[in-house]
Amino acid sequence: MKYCIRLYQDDNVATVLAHVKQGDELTVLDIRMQKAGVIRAAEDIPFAHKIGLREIVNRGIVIKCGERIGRATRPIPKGSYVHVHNVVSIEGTTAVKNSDGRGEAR
Amino acid sequence: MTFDGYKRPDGQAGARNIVAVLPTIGCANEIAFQIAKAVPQSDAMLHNHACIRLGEDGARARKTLAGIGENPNIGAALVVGLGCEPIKADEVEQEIRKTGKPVIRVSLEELGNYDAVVEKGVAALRALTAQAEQMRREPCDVSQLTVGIKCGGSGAVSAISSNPAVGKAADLIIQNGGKVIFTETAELIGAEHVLAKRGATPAVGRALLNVVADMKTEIARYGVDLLGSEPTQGNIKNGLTTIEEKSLGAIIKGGTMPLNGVLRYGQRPQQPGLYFMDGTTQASQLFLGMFAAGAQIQIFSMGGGLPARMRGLPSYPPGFPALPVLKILGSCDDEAEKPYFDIYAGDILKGLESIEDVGQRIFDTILATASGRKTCTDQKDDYREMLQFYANGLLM
Repeated sequence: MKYCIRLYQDDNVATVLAHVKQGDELTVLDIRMQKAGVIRAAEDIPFAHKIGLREIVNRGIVIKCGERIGRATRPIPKGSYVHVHNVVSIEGTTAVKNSDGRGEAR
Repeated sequence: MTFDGYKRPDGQAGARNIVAVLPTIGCANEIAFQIAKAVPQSDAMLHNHACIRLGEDGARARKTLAGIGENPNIGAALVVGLGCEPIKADEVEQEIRKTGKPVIRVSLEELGNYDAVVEKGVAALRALTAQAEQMRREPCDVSQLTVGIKCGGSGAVSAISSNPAVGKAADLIIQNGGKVIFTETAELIGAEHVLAKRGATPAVGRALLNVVADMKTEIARYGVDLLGSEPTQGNIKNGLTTIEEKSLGAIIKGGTMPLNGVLRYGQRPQQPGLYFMDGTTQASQLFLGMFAAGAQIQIFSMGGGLPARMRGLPSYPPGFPALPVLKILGSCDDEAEKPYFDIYAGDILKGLESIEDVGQRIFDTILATASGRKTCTDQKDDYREMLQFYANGLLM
């Protein structure tokens, strides 16, 4: 059985710990390795990359470790591969635009 | 709880007993190398510091040179200078002498010519080596340990296996009265608010937010996007998407204890506990800063991917035997590389081992290494690089 790890309860992404193929059903584990659900992969996902656990709307916040890690640049359906092709940093981009570290991401 | 270390006259405890040949300036590397070559038990700590550094970079180099000599892993030191450098050999010698350990200086200006420096230097180094050989390991309390922590080859697994296990070991060191330092200011961006909440006092939290704000201001001056450098292309291959994600995983390696202070590069912590050192992520410069701050053991918490397939460490200065580095491997996808790591943490990902158990193994290995156990990088001594001083200002 392939599985992924969701670090915090509120996270909308999990780290897959397998080389995932489209259609694979993954067990979602929490940080204590306890089963927290299942998710079907909508596409191939490389080892240690992220799967979307819920639908994320365009410009929606991606949450991991219970914190915001970036913003979606397009709608991300549940089970999709979540990475640099559909997520941008908020801090890494804002740091460029505003030295106070606040403001709009690109 | 104890380890078998070298008790120094100033009360510190060494995990190694290195007889250092320390040039005060990169220009003196050649003479330092010639002297050390004649005395194989010594170690030439060749480096890149240049007198064409300005202001803060020069001041930092002065503290770093003294800090190298003061580190308890150094049993004795020969300081080698030219005489035309801003940081003179006699000044560095005096700083190191305050620790009570044997130290001698030779300088081209004082001795007049190259051959005289080599001749006097070799004789002095033989005398220092003879003194160091009389030093013996004896039980030292774990509270005398300072452990530096860095992560690298980071990926999404780092936050699940290697970094939590290293964090557990950090907690154990601190619970036993020791000191832990972690660093890499750029890798707090997006996670600084989480770590600042752990400040032992509000002032510590503010100091942490300030060093990150300064780093962001500096990045803004360059007008670039961080993607591709933070996270690196390698991090992205390993599943990290943004600097926030990388930072949130990176701070896990510091464990769960309160943050006692924010240090400058190479600054020595005074009280037990957890410290953050402001500075670079570049391994070579970072390790030298840790060493100058008194770290006797360095941990490199590796995620995996291509960097894990290197046999040493990417951008680590091989030829720095004074600072033993423990390599931890986080990814079960790189299990074939296990023989080149001191600790394999990848079984956490398979539910075969707990974070607590791997953390305990790391803690036990820290004590064994402090007592003389060779590390994977210690055993790989045929390739050397120069030590790198941290500088972030103009080079004339």
